[in-house]
Amino acid sequence: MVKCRWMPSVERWFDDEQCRQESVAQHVAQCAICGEYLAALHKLRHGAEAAAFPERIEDTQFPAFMDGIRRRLEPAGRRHGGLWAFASVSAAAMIAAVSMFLVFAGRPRDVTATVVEEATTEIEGATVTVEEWYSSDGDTATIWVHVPEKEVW
Amino acid sequence: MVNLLSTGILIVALAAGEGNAIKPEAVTVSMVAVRATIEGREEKHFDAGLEAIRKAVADLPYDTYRKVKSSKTPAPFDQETKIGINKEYSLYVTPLAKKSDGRIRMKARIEMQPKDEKKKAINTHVTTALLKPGKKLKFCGGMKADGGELVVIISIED
Repeated sequence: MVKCRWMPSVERWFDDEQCRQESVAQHVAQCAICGEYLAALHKLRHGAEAAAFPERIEDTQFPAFMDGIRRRLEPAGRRHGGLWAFASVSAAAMIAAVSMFLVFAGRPRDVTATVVEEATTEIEGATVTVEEWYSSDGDTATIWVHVPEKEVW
Repeated sequence: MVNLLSTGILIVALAAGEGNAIKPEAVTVSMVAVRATIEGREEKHFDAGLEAIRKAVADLPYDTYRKVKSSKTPAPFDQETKIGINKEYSLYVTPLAKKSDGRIRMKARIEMQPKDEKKKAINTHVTTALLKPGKKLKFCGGMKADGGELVVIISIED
């Protein structure tokens, strides 16, 4: 497209902006490029005005229109995010509790006999042995103190 | 907040569960002390009232068992309870805890007071054991008594 340096001034004159109106009008009358450009601007404006279609709400649409507005104005339905969060925390706590219970409690022990955990003596030179004696009435643990020949009493 | 606190308490309660020991007020400790000797008998001899220990001492080499003392003594937890045997020997028991399987963790020691009072008393036996109620624990060796050996059998009553 061939351009003229007056074209920006023509645009401002077309939009009724403050500019050198007489000189622009005089130039447009003499310049074919700017004349065509002004005609194109007019054509564009008429086209835009023709395409513009103001939205209108018909009477039959009005109840639905207001209903939409009312729905937006009504408070949002109650959300249950807090309840779900608490339920999640409770479930996690229960899982942790059950896990800890299983770890600490373990399974019932099968070994329930008498068990000597430690056995010592203060008799000098003596040694201690622990023996398990299994008899018909059950197990009996024995703590034996073996004293050397030396009289300690 | 209350719910979270309840959940915390639940966790602690479950964690404590049956893994931890519980402590009743006291246990009853049954003690039988006998003087055991070898007298060359064909059949073992037990004084009257010693039938209950016959099987418990079946593995010992003695053939004669004379009663020195028998007693049933309540022993509170975490307290040392003295059970006298004779002038020389005393049994001291300290129940520590009751396990979930019913066994009692107990410290026990037998103290000997030397005939020479200048000498310091010594513990001939010191032990910590898990005792199953009704089952016996016997202390042998290191305890002389009138020409024989003192044998002490203890158990915790069901």
